[in-house]
Amino acid sequence: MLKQIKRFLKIEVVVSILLLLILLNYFIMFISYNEYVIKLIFSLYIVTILFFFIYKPLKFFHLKITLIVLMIIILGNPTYSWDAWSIWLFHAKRIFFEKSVIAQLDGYAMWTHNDYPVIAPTFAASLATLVGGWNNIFPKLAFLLMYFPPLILSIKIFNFRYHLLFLILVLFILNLFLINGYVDGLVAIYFSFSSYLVYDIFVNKQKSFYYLLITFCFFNILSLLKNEGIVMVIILLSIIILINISKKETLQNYKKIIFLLFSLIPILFWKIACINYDVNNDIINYNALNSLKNMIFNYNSFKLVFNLLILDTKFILSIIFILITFNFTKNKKNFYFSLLVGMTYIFSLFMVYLITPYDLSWHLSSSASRIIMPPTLLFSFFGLLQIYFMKEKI
Amino acid sequence: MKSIFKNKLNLFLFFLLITNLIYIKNISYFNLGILINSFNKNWIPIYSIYRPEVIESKYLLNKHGIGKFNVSQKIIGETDLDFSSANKIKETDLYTYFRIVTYNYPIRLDSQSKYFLFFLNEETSEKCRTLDKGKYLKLLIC
Repeated sequence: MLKQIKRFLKIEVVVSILLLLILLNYFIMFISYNEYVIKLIFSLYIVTILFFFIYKPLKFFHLKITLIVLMIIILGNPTYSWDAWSIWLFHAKRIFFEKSVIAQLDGYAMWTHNDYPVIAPTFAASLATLVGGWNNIFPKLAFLLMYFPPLILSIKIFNFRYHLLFLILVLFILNLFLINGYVDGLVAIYFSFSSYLVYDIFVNKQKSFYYLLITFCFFNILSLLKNEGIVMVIILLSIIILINISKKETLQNYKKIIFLLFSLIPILFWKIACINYDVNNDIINYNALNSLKNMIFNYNSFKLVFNLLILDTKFILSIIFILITFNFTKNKKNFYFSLLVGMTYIFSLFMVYLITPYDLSWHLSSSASRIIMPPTLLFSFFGLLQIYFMKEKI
Repeated sequence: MKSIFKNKLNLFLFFLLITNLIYIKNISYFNLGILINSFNKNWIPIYSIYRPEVIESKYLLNKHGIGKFNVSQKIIGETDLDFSSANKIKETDLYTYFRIVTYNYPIRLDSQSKYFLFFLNEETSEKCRTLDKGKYLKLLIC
């Protein structure tokens, strides 16, 4: 028992260090681009990962081999996907050459979505700083390195067999998004784990300090990954408040809630910087309300969004999976929580597609399959948790 | 490690995991040449950029030590982008222009620059002088 606790604690410490280093790297770059400090932080990140790999190398062998193979695949793949080279790696390249996190706010190449948050490009720019140069391939590795904290944390959640199942699910759902230089896979995995942590802290009453710290870091990173991440964090924070109000535990948990609310500060700084530099979002802007008024009563738009977003094969499979598991496990807390989080997010996706200034069918066909990935992973993850909780009698 | 071989189900799941990884490798554009050169700063991304004119643009600009450049209207393509129509979006080909801008960075596209990139077969103004010619593009000073 003591050994087990020690093992868990070690994992939590490693995950906390990795997360804090990602955030520290971002904040240091935001304040000033000091190459030596950036190199030091990134080196520490790599050393921590190496420690995880080298310390008892055969432990969690399946996860280690998965991560190593993914690293080899990512380094052997060209950067051909549109968003990868035109948005994420271009933003990273700009940060690296201009030595500034806000490099993209100068109005150059506006079609690269300059308002997008930059924690992932910042991490890629740091890797380039450590390597001492730029090319089109290796900065993508930084995106994969950002998967490490949640994937290492997953060891703590499942036992060996279920962890294998979890990894298979992740590989099946995220697939090429793990290696193609997009950040949608990162959004999906950080969203699922943030939801799990919220569930564990506020529904299962997990009292670990590390858990709260990890949740805070996850919220920070999630909101700084993509605009969808901001919506996800707001949804999760609202659900936390809702749960506490319904259970009349707000006073009991107010410190935790306030602490987690602070996780929105970095993204607020970014958005204020965007407003100061007059960099707008292409969808959420002053015209959004007019678009919504025109589209909300349009049945064809709803039908189109439903067909292309909801009828995604993997999403349907994840819904079937969670429904079947619920039928057998009857774990209401787990099921209703995941349903509440997932459905609220899907509702927000509907709203975004209804206010899009682009041609709806084009916008959906070019984005729906990756936008629906976070709820797909969320439902599959919570479905697997239900089986695991039942089988292991947790 | 031992847990994998402890029972058949674990072994089967491990096999499934490896199969998934091999599948990802197979459906991606994995290439050993890219892997070997993944940290090579001078590596020309011939597998990432499928239009040779984009790669040539960097060669021409670097050869003449140009820091800011301009491109012809033909390279830019559509000026008034209309994203409200799917058919219009499909017709619009902006790959060359967008990729030239991103690939050449930190060499910047600047509408005030006197250095112009044109397609080789494009007609140019008499006020422009050809600085260099490649297989697909020519560099002019106007």
